[in-house]
Amino acid sequence: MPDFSPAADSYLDRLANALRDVREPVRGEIWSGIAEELDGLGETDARDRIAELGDPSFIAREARNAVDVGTMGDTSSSAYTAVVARPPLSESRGLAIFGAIALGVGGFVVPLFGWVVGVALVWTSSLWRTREKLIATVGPPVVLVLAALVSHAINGWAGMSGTENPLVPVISDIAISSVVGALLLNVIAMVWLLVRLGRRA
Amino acid sequence: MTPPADVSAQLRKGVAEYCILGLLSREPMYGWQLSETLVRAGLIASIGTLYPVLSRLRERGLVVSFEESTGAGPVRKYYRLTAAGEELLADFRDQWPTFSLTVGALIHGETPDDLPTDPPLEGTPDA
Repeated sequence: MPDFSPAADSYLDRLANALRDVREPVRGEIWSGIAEELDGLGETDARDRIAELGDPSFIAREARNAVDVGTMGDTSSSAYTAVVARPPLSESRGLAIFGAIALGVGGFVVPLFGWVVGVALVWTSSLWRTREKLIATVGPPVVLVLAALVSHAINGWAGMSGTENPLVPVISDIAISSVVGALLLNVIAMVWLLVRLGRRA
Repeated sequence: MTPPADVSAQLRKGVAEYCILGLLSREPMYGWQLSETLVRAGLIASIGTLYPVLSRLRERGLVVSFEESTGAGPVRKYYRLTAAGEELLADFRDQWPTFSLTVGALIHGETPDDLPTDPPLEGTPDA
């Protein structure tokens, strides 16, 4: 039974993620070879060995460069195969779906905190592209702030002109609209993320 | 034609396989052992380069892998040469001195006429 220190465990997770684009059996062999080396090491020794191994993304890039076009042979198993087959948490569809739902409705359940948890989970998941994560998590607050600024500017302009216009919102209206808008935009972001995830599957 | 951006990378790529065969001709080795030796020698950049090369060598029947327990440590995957690997390594050892001599002469501007036609191989009585 493999025995990995927390540092080794975290490094192997990052390595598995970085190696996603490397074809089998090379991907599994790299992972197993490194896992062999970290197995049984204490936290300090594991950290030293990890420093020697280098960044997982560098290892993956080197592997991609070195892999030739063609069929690789021998897929012999090793003691670590079962561990290799287990995808890291960041690739879990369950985590991705839960993250999207927390982003969309978490704010209803626990105001603000629920939404923050959703943002964290969406960014943890590797099933969405960075652009999608940005749109879904940064987009709604940006739209809201812009809308609030525009409303506030109109309000200020109306105040300066000395005319009362019932159509121009006052501060309290803006605040209420912002909260409602935030909740609505987050739900839209949730639906958008889930639809994209579904299409990709 | 564009020259390669990194000449040493091209050179390393050409000889890394034979260096691995050379190391394995002494004794079976596991991935980290090979990687550590080759990285220190500047022949590969990281362990990520090693395994694709090992896969190719195994695909060509030049090396085989086997698992062995290392006492109280983990079970490791070792690699060793096959008969075909030993044969290829012997061929490379024969050709390398001539090849390196020829390239050495050419890159120093010597004409083909200046080159020795049949340079002695390393290890022969005339060498």
